[in-house]
Amino acid sequence: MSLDPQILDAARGVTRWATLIAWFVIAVGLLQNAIYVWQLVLAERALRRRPPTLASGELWRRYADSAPPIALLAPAYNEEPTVVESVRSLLALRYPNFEIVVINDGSRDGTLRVLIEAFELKQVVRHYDLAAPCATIRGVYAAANQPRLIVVDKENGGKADALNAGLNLARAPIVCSMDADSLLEPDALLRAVRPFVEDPDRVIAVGGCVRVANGCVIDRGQVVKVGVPKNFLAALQTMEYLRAFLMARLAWSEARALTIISGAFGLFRRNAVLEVGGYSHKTVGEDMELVIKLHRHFRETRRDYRVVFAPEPVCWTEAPEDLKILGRQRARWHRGSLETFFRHRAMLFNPRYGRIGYVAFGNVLLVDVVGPLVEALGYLLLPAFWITGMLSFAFLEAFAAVSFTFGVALSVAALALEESELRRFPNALSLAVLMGAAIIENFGYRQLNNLWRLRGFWQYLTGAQGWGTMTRKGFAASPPARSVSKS
Amino acid sequence: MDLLRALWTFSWLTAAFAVLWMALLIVARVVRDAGETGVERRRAQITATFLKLMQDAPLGETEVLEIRRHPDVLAEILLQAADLVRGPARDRLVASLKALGLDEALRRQVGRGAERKRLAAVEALGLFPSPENEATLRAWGRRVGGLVRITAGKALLEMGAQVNLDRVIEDMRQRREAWSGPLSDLLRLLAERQPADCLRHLGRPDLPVALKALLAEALGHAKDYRVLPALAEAALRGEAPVRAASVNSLGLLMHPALEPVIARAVDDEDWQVRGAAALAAGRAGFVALIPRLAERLADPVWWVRFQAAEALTRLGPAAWRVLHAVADADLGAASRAASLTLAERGL
Repeated sequence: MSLDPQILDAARGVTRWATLIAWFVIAVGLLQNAIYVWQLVLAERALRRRPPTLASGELWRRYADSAPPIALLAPAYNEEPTVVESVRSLLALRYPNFEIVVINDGSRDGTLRVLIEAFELKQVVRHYDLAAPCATIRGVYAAANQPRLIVVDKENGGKADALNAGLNLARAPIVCSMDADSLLEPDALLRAVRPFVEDPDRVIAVGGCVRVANGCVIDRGQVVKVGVPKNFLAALQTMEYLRAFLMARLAWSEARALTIISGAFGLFRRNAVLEVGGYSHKTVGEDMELVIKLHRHFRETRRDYRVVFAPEPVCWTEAPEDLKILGRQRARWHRGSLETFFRHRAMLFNPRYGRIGYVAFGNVLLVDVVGPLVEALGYLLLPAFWITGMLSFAFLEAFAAVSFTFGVALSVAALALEESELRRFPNALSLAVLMGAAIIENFGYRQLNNLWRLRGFWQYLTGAQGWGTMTRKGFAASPPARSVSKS
Repeated sequence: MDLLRALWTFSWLTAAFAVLWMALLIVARVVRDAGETGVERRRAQITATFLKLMQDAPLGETEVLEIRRHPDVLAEILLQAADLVRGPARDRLVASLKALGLDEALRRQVGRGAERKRLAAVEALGLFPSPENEATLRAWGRRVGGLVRITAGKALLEMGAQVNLDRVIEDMRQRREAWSGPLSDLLRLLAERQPADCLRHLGRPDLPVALKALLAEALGHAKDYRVLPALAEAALRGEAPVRAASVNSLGLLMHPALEPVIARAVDDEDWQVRGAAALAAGRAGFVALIPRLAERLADPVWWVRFQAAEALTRLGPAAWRVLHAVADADLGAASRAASLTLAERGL
């Protein structure tokens, strides 16, 4: 029995299309993995060539005299349970000359009241700049016994708006943006300021490393013992943060194409930030947006500058232990990235912006714009093509290679890099646990993450606004020393 | 199809390699953690030995041997002790260590091990002035670049030896990345000890602007009024960064003869120079500059307005009256600067 040639032709056509789609999906996956390998190599080179890690005392001896003043900007919105403890930990930082500007962004809870009570704040007058746009400042508070602390009470305007208010109030040449609920290591500022001290003419921004605090022992707002989260989701995020900061950001910094400095811990030259108009409103990715604006402005004005990542200064953050909250956070991050990418799309492959236009924006296009869609396409279509006999099993294997096994190799290699160069995890057992997490995250979690990114894509396309609710357990709790993780 | 299969096989090989690498690192960590306990114990032992030396207590042979065998720990603990202890106790400690010949162990450490350990040894050697130690620091300073060289220079100055400024300047000129904070610290020390040499280089037209600015900034720490004429010249005729650094330095020296220079700098075209000049005028108490500072309250740059207002608060009742007058008038940014500063200072 012979089949109708028309049907045969149609079947061949469909098979050809299926093969083409499969090759496209595999090629995109392969390209992404090639970028990750390149990042790993660059990060390894950067870590090997970095100046020696100095102990706290040595650091002070070498850098304290030349360390410029820093203003820490800590926006707080409805942080009543944690804000006092967070500010206390900031006041305990070891840095020769710094001020803390806490910005109460129109909180609806008792954030301002607990601050006033805890630090005996009084309303004061302060001469400040009006350079960056921000909502009305209702009052400035200071404490007689804490001269480093300033609290700004303003009408609600979002994180970017609060940071702009802080920029206006700051008098130091360097500002450090952070989250009020993150914890800085005591000598984090002294480590983070090193690039500014060593290359004062060119460095305009420095990003520090953000690590997951879940599982660590926290005492009076400081991480006193590093640990591995007991919560499975938090352990997976520990590996993610390791890859994102120690591998990706370090590599981009080495390639002089770093386009994101985490809002949880970044240092900027105040004048440079004001030159680009401060933080942008109407975006949930104000941290990436600021760095891109800096790149754009300095490239357009043809000035020599550096945006760098420093792997040693550490800021500890609490990772969500709930799928729903984590999903919202990831979708928001992705939306922020897309907002910035499309807002500055004129930079893409534009020779005027050099490696930022070609390499950094090219990477965002591949990894954030095309990547999630193609990966989802792969998960949906390739198994279906194989089941219907349109593709051979080898295609499925190759897709699994780029989606799973290379992922395992890269995650484990990132952990190996950390252990070879920084050794921040406390013992062999914690390393073994994290190696398990590095393997497991590729089977299920990565795919879930891709789904959240697609949700972020959808939110961007539909013009969704706002941050959504981000519930945290908080570091401050009644026992003086405890583990953040509650299993 | 072969390519697809190769991809699959290759991915498994790389994953296996990564897992094996990590497994080896985990084993290495077990071994290292056991070793770390030893290092901690050694640190505690050497710290206890130091306390004995500071109290002039006699040492056993094994204690001396322990220190000699671990010069890296010796350097680390010695620097910590030197930070914490001053006066006769510190002198006794250093003299005792020298009498035991332990600086020789530091000399050996300078040439070996990780950069951090070498740096500590170089820095610690600065506490032991002697021809051998000076020769070691000079030799390694010449041979090694970067931080070790800078630290060697600072250690030489610490022990009272001379450092060739010409060579330092030449080194900085050749290596763009060397114009760093630690090097500017070295320049400050050199300016305190050899101000005339620094002045000679400040006047060189062939030096890069950033380097001249560093020199001008270092001269402010010289505490030597002989540098005034050259700094005043640089404050008026140098490039913008040099002018700003020179005015900053003049502000630190606070000499009455500088008033005309600061007066001109208050009206400089560069806002950083104007800001520095306002600060210097307030610090030095130049009452004659009150009218010029009052004009700067309307400066287009906030930082200059802020510094001018701050300076006026330092210049006594006559300046406060000016601030009140500006605050009461409807002069926009100038009135805002004056009124907020008055309120902030409670005047």
